[in-house]
Amino acid sequence: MIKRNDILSPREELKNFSIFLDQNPWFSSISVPHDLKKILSNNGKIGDVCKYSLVKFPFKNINLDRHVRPNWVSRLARENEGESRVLLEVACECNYNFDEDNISDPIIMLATKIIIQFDYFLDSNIEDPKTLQCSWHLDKHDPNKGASTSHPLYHYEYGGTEIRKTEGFNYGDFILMDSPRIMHPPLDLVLAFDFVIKNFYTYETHKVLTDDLLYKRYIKNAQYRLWRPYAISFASHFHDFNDIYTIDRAFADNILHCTNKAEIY
Amino acid sequence: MNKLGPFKIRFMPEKITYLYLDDNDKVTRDGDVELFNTISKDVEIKTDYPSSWKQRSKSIFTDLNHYDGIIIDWELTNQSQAAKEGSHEAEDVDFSAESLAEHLRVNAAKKNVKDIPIIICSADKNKAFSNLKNRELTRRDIFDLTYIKNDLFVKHVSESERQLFNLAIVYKLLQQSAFDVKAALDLSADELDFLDIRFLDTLEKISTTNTTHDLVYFLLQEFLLPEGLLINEQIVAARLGVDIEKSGDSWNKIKEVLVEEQICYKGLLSIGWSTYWSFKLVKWWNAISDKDLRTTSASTRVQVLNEKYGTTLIPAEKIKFCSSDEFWTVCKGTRRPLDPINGFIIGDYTSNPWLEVEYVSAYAELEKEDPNAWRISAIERVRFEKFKSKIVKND
Repeated sequence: MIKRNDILSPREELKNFSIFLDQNPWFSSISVPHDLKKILSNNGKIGDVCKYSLVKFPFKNINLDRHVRPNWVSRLARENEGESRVLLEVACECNYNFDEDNISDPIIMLATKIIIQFDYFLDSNIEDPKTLQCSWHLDKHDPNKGASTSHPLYHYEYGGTEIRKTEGFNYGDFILMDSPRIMHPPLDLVLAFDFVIKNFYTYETHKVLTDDLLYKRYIKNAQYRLWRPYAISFASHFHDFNDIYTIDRAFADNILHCTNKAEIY
Repeated sequence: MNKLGPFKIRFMPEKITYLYLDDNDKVTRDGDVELFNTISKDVEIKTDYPSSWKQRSKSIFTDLNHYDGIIIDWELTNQSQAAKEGSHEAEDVDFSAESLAEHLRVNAAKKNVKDIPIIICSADKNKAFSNLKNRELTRRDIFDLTYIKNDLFVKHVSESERQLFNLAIVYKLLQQSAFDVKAALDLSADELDFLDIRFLDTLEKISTTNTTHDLVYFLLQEFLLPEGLLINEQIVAARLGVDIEKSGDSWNKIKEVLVEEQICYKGLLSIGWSTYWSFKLVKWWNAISDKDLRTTSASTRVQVLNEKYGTTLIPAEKIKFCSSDEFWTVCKGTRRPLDPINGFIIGDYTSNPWLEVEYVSAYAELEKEDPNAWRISAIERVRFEKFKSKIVKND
């Protein structure tokens, strides 16, 4: 059984991760690591709860691959016309469970947004660039609110308020709805960064960061903190771990679907 | 609250007196400070010829009995005969403003003499002086403030008068009473929790182990003047999405609201410099709207304010070439509202974590008159060149 006792608290990890990113020249060139250092502001307090909120954190010049539609965006992207970016938002509140045999949810609250934007010049009007955008949410659902459609505890959802708030948004032939909510393991700041970097930049560009052994360790540690309890709870639906772990049953059940209490009793 | 802020002062001096050392003749010197002395009720500037190092380096200590601050002209050594006022005793000036300032600072640090504000000024368009104002290039930290002479005595005289007054008062206060963070910043213990702990820690360290002038320098250069924990009126307007000029009286009305809601900074040095707490602005916004301020468009922000306060504010418009109107800062070049995602970082990354990164718009960079006014950060230059080529191509 793999056990890791050398993992630091999320607060410590976050601090070290942000200092590490600040020193990486590639990361500095696509982002503003200085703004990351800010969120550590009040995380020096006593206690195990780590709480932070990152708003509109930019990842610049993302890779827009050749399958992007509409077609002309793909062409503009190829010709380096227009600026592209991902804006990441992560609001998170988590604690660190030092008892590794006691499997429960380390996350109290989680709401992340990934907003993908592409600025372009409509009819070569350079004075007033237009923006194409889409967005994804990854939330922790509040189980007390219940759910009538499928709501895995942690789920990805396409669209959301980011698009809806845009007045006069041109939906074209597109419709936007809440379902489906796709089950996905939670992403805290460290894992969300890794998600954005690896999804929106090519390996050739990001390897200077992601091949770094320290980087790998930060990701592994975050996975261990967040995904280990998630994975064991998930697997407990198919295997009896009672001899080894004490598993928070509500957490394990909600991973598949947050049931309305009224539904059960 | 009284105009001196939360600190209690033991005695209130009749008047703050500054000594202005300049190698011009008496008539010219006194002429320089005349307007200042006329408009000021609280501050008087007396002028003197700097004289030689041998004389001044000693007499400056007795000067300190009569003065609360000193203003030094940057070019002391013009050695004009007229400046010596026909006196045979007066000697040529043979020292620099920096050496006199350093002399005072070292002796203040040794507690031989009291610590006082030291201000340096120079004539307009002195290129070497402009470089001096750029803190990366010199040890500016021996001076509290650097002014262009015309700004100090004429153009911005009412502003600089308040600043000189406030500086001298703060120097006195800090040397009289024990430093207390809550009183100094005029915040409650709960409110302190909103500030970056690294800022509070540094402030505490400097206030306990360093000199008064170190503390004042830190307050000015790492807290009051740069954008960060505190923001100026332009940035407040940008964050509220407001075009100040077009909004006229409506903006004044919002400013009154900001005063009522105690968003203004009222701590040390707030008489000379008017700024606002950035965390309090967001807190107030969250109380009047359920929309997230950072990610709401300027027109929506303004709509919220207009509906709430019955104003007719006009939303700020995007700078040319910008795509977003979710403004958060101002472009360093045009001073107009900017969403950082459209900006290009200038300067370096070494600023303290509680301060904001500075940006210019592509428009300002393309149109700038003085090529040395700012420099796009090395890490953003490729991005800018790409952006520039797109604009040029489509123009």
